[in-house]
Amino acid sequence: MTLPIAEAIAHEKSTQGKNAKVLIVSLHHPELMRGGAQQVCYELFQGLKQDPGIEPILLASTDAAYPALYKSGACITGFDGRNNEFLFLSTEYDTLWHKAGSPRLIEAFADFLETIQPDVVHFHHFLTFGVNLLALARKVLPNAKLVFTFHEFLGICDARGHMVRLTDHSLCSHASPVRCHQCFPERSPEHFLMRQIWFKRHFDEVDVFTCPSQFMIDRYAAWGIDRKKLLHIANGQADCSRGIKLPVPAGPKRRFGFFGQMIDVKGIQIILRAVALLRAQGFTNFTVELNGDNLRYATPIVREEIETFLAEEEKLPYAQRIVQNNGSYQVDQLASRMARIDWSIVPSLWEEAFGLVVSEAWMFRRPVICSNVGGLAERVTNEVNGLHFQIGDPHALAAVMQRACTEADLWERLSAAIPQPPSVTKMVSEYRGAYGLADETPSGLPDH
Amino acid sequence: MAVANKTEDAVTSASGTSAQAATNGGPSKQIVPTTLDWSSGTAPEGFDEVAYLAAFPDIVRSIKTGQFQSALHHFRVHGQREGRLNDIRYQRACVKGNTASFPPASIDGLVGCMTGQCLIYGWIKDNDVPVDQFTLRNNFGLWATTQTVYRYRRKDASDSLGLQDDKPLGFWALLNVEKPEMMFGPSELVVSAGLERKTFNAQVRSALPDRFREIVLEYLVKIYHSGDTRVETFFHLDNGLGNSLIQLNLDISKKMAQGAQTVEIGTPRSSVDGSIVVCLFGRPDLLSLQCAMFSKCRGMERYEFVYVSNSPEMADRLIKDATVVHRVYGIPIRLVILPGNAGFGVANNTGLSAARSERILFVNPDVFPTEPDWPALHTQLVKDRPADQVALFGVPLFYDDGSLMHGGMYFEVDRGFSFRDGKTTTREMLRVEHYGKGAPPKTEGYLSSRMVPAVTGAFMSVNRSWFESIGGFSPEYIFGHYEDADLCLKSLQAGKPAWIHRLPFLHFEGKGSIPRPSLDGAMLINRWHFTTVWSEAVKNGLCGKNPEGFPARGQQ
Repeated sequence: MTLPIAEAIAHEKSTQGKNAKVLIVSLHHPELMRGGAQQVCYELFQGLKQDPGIEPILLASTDAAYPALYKSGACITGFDGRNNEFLFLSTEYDTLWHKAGSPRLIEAFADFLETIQPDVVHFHHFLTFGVNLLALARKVLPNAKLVFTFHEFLGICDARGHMVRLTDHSLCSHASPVRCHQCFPERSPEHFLMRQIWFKRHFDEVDVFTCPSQFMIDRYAAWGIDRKKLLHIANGQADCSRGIKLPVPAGPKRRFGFFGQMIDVKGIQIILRAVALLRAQGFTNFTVELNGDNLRYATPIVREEIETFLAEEEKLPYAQRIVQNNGSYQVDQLASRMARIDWSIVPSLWEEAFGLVVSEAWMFRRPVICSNVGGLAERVTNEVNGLHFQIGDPHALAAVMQRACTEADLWERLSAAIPQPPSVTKMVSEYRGAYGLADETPSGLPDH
Repeated sequence: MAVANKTEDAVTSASGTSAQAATNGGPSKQIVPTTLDWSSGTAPEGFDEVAYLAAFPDIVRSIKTGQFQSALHHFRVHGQREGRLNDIRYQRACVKGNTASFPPASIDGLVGCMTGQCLIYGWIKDNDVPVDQFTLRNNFGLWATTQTVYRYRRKDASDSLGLQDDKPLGFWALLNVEKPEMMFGPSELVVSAGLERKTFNAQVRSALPDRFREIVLEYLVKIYHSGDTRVETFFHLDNGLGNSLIQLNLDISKKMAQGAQTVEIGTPRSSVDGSIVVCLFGRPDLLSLQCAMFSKCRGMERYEFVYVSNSPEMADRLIKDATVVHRVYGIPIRLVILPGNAGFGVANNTGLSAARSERILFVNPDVFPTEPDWPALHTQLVKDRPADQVALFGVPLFYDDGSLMHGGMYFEVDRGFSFRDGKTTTREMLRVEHYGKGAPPKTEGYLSSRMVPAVTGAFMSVNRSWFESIGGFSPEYIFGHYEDADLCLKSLQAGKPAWIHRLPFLHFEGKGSIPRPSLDGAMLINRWHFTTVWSEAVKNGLCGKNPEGFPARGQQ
């Protein structure tokens, strides 16, 4: 695929001394609601600001969580007095079809595009905006380049885009009208074919898709997206270690940590079950520290399991406690939290798109013990720079944890092999290519 | 539901004498055949000879003297002209008071409609002699009666009474009320079961016509039958209920069509090759989905969309969605909002009047294109084919699983049986079938261009003048079903059979509206009406999969 329009834009901009405008459309603002997609998006926005040839503009959505931000009569506003940061005041969002339903909002978005006149519109999600805004962006800006980044599989899978079957919590290899109907018996197979053609109709407007992992590319290509349009760009992240090298205590490495959201698919309950198993076996000389938030968004049954476990743990004499819940954390607290652990466990129950927590652990040279599927398995090489265990199996995790505690030099070997996590600079450079603004075609950029 | 013997609610009759006579085994009520017609000078349904004579003793004397043969004779000669049945003396005599052994019963509701009908429903534990007459009256001049009572199962009543058997205790009846405006004051309902009578206080609840239609249709499908439900329902419909409900529907749909409001969204295209008329009911989201899919097809700028909504509650949502659709996909939409459900046929006829093209495509909202060039192909087809082949044609429609849903339609005749009182009666019922339903997607014979007995209304392309000349969709059909086959047969009868041409579309059959019980009732009536109108024509050379001149499969 050639990029004549974008190249022409880049050429025109360079000859006229103007910067290429890149509008980044973000699901939420990371300072209003935390989450991986918005974090990556904001990292990219910050990174693009450092690029002298690009003028990035951020349009981040917000929702009813911040009613005070909904200025009367407004649909798009500025954000906290910041240059080139705007808020999209999402309303009347159709959660069934992921469609923008408010004519005023539609008109405001069109007007915003006409005002900004971006050369590139980079959607980091359709949630809270509406997948139909892709068609609107194409209509308003027929010459702009449309880029879309997938952060999970919501276009394919209505079960939060996790591709975990609601019938038995097994991983789902592919969507189909009948399979999806099995997950949602109240919706007919026809509904899911309609859903598929509805999404594909709008994705058809996009010039380039990016995925942070190769397996996602394969999954979306199998679903029907033109493989030539799919690019692999890893999620870059600013180095949160800030050059700090954590001391490595001598002796066995028996301290484990969990970082992330305390919701079902992140699998924190698998860790707790593994701890219970090890305790029952009499193996108790280790600790687990939980770092995260949003337990309120877990399903009642998982929430109860976690809360009950932690309550029981609290009742034990301090010396007998294994699990400690540290609660939520900010990026600047990562160093102190990482200093208290040796291993980072990522027990996700779905095929994570990327796993920013892997990058965070690696920045502090902490080997990762993770589920053996998806983006995690793609990034963490078993027995080389981390350890895998069978997804969802607390027995398997318990065995790996026991080995991690007892096998001499294992930690040192794995830690030494940890690669450098993707940087923001690299990510910006690759997106520059995706935008058609690179001097040379980056690896993986389709051309024909 | 009140499950109790309502004796305490009964109104004491003004004419205890007659009631006493009835209880003592006196003269029984005169049952006049229901075929007698009020307007033709004969007695109305439920004419009560005993009450007539009790109310007018002079007529008794006249009969004794041989001047008249009977009360009915008097009524035919003088009584009808004199309005004797509206005479308060007659109406009071009809209400003969309560008999002591009237069985446990409850009137659960009376729903009236300004179109002149009143639905009565409740239950009665009438073991030996079934309930056989309802008379509704009041002091404002209301007087209506019926002896046609429909029964249905009432598990709640059976449970409450501790009954183990599944006898249908529930009943409903439909009264035709001559002065509907009199219906809504305090009234009395006299319920008769053989010699037993009981008068209930009655307050008729008012329902808007479309709601009333909905309720009656729901009751229609509840009717209890010991045999073939369809056959037994057909017999009920034969006996006047069918025409009565169709007339009710005609009144409603006509009003709905007259109340249509058109909303123009976007600038209409200056000239078009075709107008796509889509009837919406209950699923506003389909407008956005359909327009999104159609907007990607090349040549759509030569077609216009007319959406007709049978769901007034969706009006705001549809206007918003159409506005969004226009802004996002650039499709102008003419939105016709009806004040209620006029039904598929009438809504499409109404949509036609808002369409500007000579070529009309009636398309269901759950039909989606599979061929991006279909607009140009359709235009070319209409242009190239002989006029007779494109006056009315359909296209192959496919299921979500890829198999064929429709490759034309044909007719079969079902024969059902009724077993009553030691007699066997048969009834014919027409059935519409689809060629190749469920066939693999490339079953060429079903896809090729050919004449077919009928095509589905899910996608129908018609020449506007021809469509209008055969009267459009017949408005007698309630809600939907059978009006498409009816249209095709009208076209065939007028000299132009339906065709099918190869232009595939997806059809998520039955997903365009939300199912509800009254639809089943409507479908029964429609099938009955379709059978009534077309039975002879179908049996006379159109029956089966391969009627003469209509090969099931075309040439491959």
